[in-house]
Amino acid sequence: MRERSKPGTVPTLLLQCLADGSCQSLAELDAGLDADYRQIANAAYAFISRGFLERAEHGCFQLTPAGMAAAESGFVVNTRPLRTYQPHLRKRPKNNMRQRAWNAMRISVSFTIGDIVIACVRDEICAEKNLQRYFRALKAAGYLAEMPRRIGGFKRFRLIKDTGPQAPAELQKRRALIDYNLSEKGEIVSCIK
Amino acid sequence: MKNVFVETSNVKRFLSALSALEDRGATEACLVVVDGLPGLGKTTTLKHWVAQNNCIYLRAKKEWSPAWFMNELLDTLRVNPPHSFQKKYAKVLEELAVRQNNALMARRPFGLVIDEADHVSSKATILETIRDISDMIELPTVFVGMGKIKDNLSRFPQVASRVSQKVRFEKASKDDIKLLIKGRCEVPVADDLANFVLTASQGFNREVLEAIANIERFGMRSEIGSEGVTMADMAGHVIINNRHTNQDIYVPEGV
Repeated sequence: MRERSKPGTVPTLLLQCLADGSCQSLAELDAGLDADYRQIANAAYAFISRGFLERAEHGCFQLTPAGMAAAESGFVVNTRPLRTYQPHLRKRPKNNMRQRAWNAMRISVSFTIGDIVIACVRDEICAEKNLQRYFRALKAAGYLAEMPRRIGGFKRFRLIKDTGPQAPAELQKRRALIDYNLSEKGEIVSCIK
Repeated sequence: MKNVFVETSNVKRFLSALSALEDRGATEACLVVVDGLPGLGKTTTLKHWVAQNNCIYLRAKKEWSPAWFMNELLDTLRVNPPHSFQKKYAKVLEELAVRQNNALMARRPFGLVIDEADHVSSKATILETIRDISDMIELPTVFVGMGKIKDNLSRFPQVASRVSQKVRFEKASKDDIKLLIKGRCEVPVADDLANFVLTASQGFNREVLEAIANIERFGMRSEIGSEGVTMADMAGHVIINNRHTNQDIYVPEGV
């Protein structure tokens, strides 16, 4: 297995390799550069997002004027490739447990986590814990409101922001939800108060 | 209490009625009437079915008019309601047909559920609107009510004749009670106490769940034998609140 290179090494190499303005395919770049095919593809993707690189024809990459200028100025990439988050590239969740839970929430006036578990679970394990996390995210994003009084010791909730039939999906690392009901490409709703 | 959906005999009859609906003879007869006294688990069953299959659920209102019903249906379908009734009707049909097709492709059941349908069962205009929608796209429509729907619908033969399945939710049997206790109670319960729960609850699921919560509360903090919580263990403790008299029902002592 190839040794892990320092962040930014492969993109810098790629930039220098294409600095002559040539149009090269990924296979050619793979043969010419000391890096994995996947690393080169990732670097190319990051440069395309930045506007440094373009696909001149099918499978062939060439630097844009901005990329040429960067290469001439001796630009060194010293971080991981920057990627802009593109929600529309994310696969929409299918009829999973959270979708069924969302369906149940939409048709209930007020509910406990237990009520929703009863309505939505098929044969999932740890369903309750999963929904507890989902409820926390929904509450933080302002979709759920906790009701002031408990019943039988259980917290009760009310869905106050019913945006549509598609269940908002949790983006755990970003501490946010992505809601495909708000726009076609999906809208990010922060869970940070 | 365990959060498990228990398939009682009522649930089984409801599901088999829906299966029978798929094999109906007359294509336009796609109405299902579900009725029974309050507290027998109708809404829980329907909510489970709707959530599992992503169906459309509406709760009827006392003062529903056809336009209000249409607006609410369009709102549930996440469509901005157009101004005229004709356009609303066309939009509803279009949206429901798309959803029904998608469900068909995914091989899952689809339908429109109208809860608390007693409110609309005597209103000809709404019933006719629902019948039209149901007829046009052969959409299974489930009316859920508390015992008056069947009688009320008999006043409208054109609607009543399209009811292909009628499911009456009955009071829980001894087996149902045992199934419910086994499925939802965190502590084992002896047969004698289960029988007492059946008598005290009169077969109403709502009361049975209340009894399970009380048994659980008692069982969790006491030493119980291998056969589970018995009547002797719980003697003198409240098990259920009587829904008619609002008095507590105690487990009798000296049994």
